[in-house]
Amino acid sequence: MDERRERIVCDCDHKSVTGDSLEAKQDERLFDQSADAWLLARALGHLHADEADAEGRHDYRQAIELLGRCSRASATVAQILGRVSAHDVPLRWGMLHVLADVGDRDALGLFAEVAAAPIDEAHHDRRACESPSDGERLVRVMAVEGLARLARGDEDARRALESVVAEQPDAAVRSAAVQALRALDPEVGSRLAEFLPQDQRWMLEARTASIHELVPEIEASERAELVLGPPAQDRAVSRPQIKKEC
Amino acid sequence: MASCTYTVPNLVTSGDSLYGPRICWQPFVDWAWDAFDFDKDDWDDGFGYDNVCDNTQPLSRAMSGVWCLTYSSPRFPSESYSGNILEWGGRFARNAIDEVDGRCGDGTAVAWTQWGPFADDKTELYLSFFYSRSVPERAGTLIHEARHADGKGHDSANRDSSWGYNGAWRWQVCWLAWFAFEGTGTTSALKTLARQRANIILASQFVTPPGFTV
Repeated sequence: MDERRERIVCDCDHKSVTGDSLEAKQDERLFDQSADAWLLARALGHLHADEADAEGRHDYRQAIELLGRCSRASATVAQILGRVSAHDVPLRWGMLHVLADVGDRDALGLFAEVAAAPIDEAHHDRRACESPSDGERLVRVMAVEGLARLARGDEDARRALESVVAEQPDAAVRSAAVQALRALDPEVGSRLAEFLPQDQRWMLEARTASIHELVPEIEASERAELVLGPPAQDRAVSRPQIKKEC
Repeated sequence: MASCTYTVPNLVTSGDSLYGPRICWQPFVDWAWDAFDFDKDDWDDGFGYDNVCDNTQPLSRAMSGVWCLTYSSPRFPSESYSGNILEWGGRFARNAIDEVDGRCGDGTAVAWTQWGPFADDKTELYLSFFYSRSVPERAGTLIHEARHADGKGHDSANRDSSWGYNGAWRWQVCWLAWFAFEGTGTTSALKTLARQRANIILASQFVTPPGFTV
């Protein structure tokens, strides 16, 4: 996947005083190749139906059910993953999420391949915090989650997760696989320990934090004044207006 | 001045089809423009100044991140610091960040903040921010950069030594976790993505791992 990385070419001055200029180009159409691809696009189109969109969520579930009945869902996703731009992380992630929701055992090989694939860190600016390679971790973690769902009652999927632990050196992806295995079998730690370097053994004892622990510490001096508050979303504007005949 | 090109990505899977129409609202654009100190020179020339509602362009996509950061708490309009970071994170960010600039970058970074005495305080957002991140991830990045703008850098290269250091990675994890826990106006898939992103940070960005997941 990483071999298709597109370089962003620029003759840039990192601290330019004026802005940069940007041009768009269209990507190829990815979902026109087959009926299965069309169905996958339909599922993706409703992946982010929000809590108020009951019809959209229904259409998503319907598309998932139909994908589950077709024999080439996994192969279709694999084919499109091979063509989609590496930069479109949300699309790659979304396709794996759809496949995980389908729950087809045929996806096991694809999930395992994606989860174990090495991550190229060569293009990370070490001065910067977040890196484009974070997206590669996200895609692999979604593949791990797909394996985890299959692993409930499937020994091959469980072994695939153990292979990820053994073969994937990236700590974040490896941790996702370890936690998935621990959820299936709390005693799995002794088997996994041999694959983990000392500085990653914490994964075998990690706990799930309570949301109420997840609080940044903010000093009184950092508590900014409440100025420039955002506009309230004006529901009155969207209410239908009754026209009165004179 | 640099020039660059981008490929229009899928608008649904990033959340831009969901959030993009929401930012297409003049009172919000006016407010966010001032609150985060956007400037025309940093967002024209293809970055979206001429059509803020075009969710294929960087300005709309940045605005979607701001929208997500601002309106995801079920307790909005409360932004009280006695609440959780989902509630006050937008308030903190807009007060800490001095200005937001759209830039090409060189493909190796997502965002970058400069701060300190005798420095031109600013936050630059690059193509990866606009085109390789989902909307909630962009909101998380804004929290991260706001923590830097507030004067807190990393203390171990671009990682934090520990959870107790209370740096930008901790703040970003907290925001993403609360978004996954009780974010409103969003989707279960985006909450899953936010949770996964938080766990990726927990596993990789602390020299002493915090020892928990979310």
